[in-house]
Amino acid sequence: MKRKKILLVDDSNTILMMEKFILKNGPYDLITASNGEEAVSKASEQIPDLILLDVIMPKMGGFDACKLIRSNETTSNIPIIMVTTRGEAANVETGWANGCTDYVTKPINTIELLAKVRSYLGTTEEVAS
Amino acid sequence: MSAEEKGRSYIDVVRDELRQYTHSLLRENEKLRAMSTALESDKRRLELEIIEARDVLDQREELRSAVASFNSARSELLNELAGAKRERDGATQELDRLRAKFDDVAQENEKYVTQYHQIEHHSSNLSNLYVASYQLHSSVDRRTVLDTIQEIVVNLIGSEEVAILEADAETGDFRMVASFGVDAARLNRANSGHAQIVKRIAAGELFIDDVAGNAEDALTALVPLKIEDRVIGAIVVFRLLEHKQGLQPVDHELFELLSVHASTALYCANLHEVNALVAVS
Repeated sequence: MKRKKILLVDDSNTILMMEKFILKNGPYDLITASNGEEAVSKASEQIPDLILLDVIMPKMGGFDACKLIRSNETTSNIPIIMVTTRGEAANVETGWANGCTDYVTKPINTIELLAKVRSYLGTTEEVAS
Repeated sequence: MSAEEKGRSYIDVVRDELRQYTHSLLRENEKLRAMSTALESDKRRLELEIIEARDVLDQREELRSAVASFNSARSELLNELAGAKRERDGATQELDRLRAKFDDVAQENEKYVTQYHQIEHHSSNLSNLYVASYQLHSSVDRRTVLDTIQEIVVNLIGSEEVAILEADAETGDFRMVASFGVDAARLNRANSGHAQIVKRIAAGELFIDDVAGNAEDALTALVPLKIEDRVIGAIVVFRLLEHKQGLQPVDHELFELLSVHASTALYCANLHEVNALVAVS
């Protein structure tokens, strides 16, 4: 059984804790980063299977981090789900332009987040097999 | 006429009669021969007819046998058909039973799916409440507590316009000590527009407007922070995020939780700060 690795990136401990709560019972190994720089560094070191990336963070924002992750050959194919408080079209367009794969809006809806994670990493059964 | 002549004449007569008789016999013989030939011909024709009649009889017999075997096959087929009909009726009944069972299972499944969604929803709500409570009490640093309160409003409730007010220890007036997306001018404007709400802070009543709308100063919630019966501050929440479709029951629970836990967390942080200052001095 190959567990999948997910990198959770957010400067808010509240959101990181929420995401861990939602995902901890799945077949996932969770790693965290609290800003864009750390996210880029951990992505290239750990090569996660999926990244949940906040947009507004100190040091480096989510869009810039997304762009850098996409420009690195070893991390360029990792699906990136932007986690944003702003779901309006312009913001989402910026996300697509910087190479994000999908997005979810805050407050995080557990069922929506799980559905999206499963759609990129497979269901529990698929991961187990 | 002499006897001799008479004798000769009699012989001639007999001869003539014999000749005529012979002719007539020959004619009769010819007739009989012709009749015999005709009869022979009739006999052959009759024999042929008999043969043909026998053939017809044979064919009739064959047909009779074929009809008998057809009837027998038909009867077997009818029996099989009746059996098949019985099987079909049985299968139809079984199908009806299975359909009814399938409907029952589908209904049960739907019930479980609904329950599963309810449980997942409930679990999500509990997660929100647990995370909020855990984060509020994870630090005694005043700045961290204020940030956590704002984070809860921004990330768990879904508003990027929040202000935290604290009662001044000497004057008792409420002043803004932290905010996200709200400046003091706006807060004052909202205060004057919501005199009743300001009174509510003093009264320590939790105010929630489920249909606050998107007007700039629309007030969504006002959460009094109380220690026992004393109001030490308030959390003022303005517009919800654009994509958030109104408040949910869990948001009400979060406001309730904040009114209790945020106040104790803030109170403890203030005490800690005072203690730290005393220790330094």
